Amino acid sequence: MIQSVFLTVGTTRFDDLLKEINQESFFKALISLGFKNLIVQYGNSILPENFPKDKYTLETGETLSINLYKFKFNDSKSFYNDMKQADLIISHAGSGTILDALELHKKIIVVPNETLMDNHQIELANAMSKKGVIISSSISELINTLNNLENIEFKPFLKENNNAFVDILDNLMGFED
Amino acid sequence: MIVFGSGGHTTEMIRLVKNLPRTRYSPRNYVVADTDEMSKEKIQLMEEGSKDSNLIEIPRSRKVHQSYFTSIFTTLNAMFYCFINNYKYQPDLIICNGPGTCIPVCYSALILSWLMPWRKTGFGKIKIVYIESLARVKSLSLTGKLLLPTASLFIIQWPELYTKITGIEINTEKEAEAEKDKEEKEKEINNEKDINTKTKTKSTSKFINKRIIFRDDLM
Repeated sequence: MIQSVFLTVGTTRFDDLLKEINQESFFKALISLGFKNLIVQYGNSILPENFPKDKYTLETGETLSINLYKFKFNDSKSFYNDMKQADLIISHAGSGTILDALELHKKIIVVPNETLMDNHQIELANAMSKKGVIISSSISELINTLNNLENIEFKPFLKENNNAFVDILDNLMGFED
Repeated sequence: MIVFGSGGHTTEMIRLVKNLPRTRYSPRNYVVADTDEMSKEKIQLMEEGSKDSNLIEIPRSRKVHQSYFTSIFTTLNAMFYCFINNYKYQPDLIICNGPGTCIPVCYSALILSWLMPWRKTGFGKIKIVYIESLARVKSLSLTGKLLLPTASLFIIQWPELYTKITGIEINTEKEAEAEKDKEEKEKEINNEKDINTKTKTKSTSKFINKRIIFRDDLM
C-alpha cells in the first residue's frame, strides 16, 4: 500500500505553510515516517518557485513522489478521494476538512493560519486537540510534530450511527419510539 | 425544513440529519444557497432514491467576509424567496446550524406564523432547532446571536460557550464539589450581567436551561 500524505489549505491562501514545507527537513520527516507520496492542494496560496514538482530525492536515494494541484473544483469527490486515500492529513483549520478527516478515521495535523482575522479556527483546533482527537500545530512546530508523530495517539471523536440528535428531535416533536 | 450552508456547516448538518427516520420526518425540504454546489451534491447523495425530499435554492444572504451593511440588502432579497417557500411548504420544524441562510429562513417563517396564526405552522406551533456549529468554541456566530431569542431549542456543543451564554458551569471532570463555590459566584455575576445588558433574558433561568442545552455527543 502506498503511504500517502495529503496536505490541504482549502480555498484559503496559506503561503507561510507552503514556505515551511519547502525544505529538506520536512520531506525527510515524511520519508522517515515511511511515506512514499505527498499530495499538496495549495488553493490560493503562492507556491514557492523551487518547490519540487514531481518528486523529492534524499541523498540516501530514498524518494518521495509529489503531486501538486490548486483545486479540483468541478469534482469535489476527487478532492474527497485524495483525503480518503491519505494515511495522514495536514490541513488548515477549516472545520469541514477536520470533520471529513475524522469521519474517514484519518490522522490529522491541523495548522491554523494565524494571519487570518478569524481566530475561531484556532479556537476549534485547540479545543479539538485538547480532546486528543487531532493534533494542532503551529507552522514552526510542524516538522517537530511530524518527527514525534509515532508517539502520539489519536482518540476517536465521531460516533458511528449516532442517534443522539434524532432522540432530541423526537422528544421535541412528541414522537415516540 | 433543513437549512444548509457551505463548508463545515454542511459536513456537520449531514452528520446530524442523515439518521433522521424518513417516515417520521417527511417531507424533508433542504434549503441551500443557489451557489452552493457542494451542499447540493451531498444532499443528493444522502437522499438518493427518496421521493419525499425537495431541494429549495435561495439567493445567498451573506457571502463570507461580506460587510454587514450590504448584507442587510442581500438578506432582504433572500427573505423574499424564503417567504414564498415557507408559505408554500409550511414547515413544522426548521433545523439549522449557523450559515447566514438560516436568518431569512427562520425569520420569515416566524413572521408568517405571526401573520397567519391559524395555519398549522401558526404562532407557537412552528419549531426552530438551532445547533451552534462545532466550529464555535468560545463565542456565538452572528446567526446564533440572532436566533438565540427565538429558537425553540438552542444546542451548544462546547462547555465553555454554554457557560458564557447561560452562566451555567459544566463539569466535564469530577471536580464538582471544589468548584461549587466558584460556580455560584460566577452565576451571580452572570445573572447581574444579564439583567444589566439584556432585557430579553428576564425570563426565569429554568426556562433558559430547558431551551438552551449543552450536548457534546451529537457528532
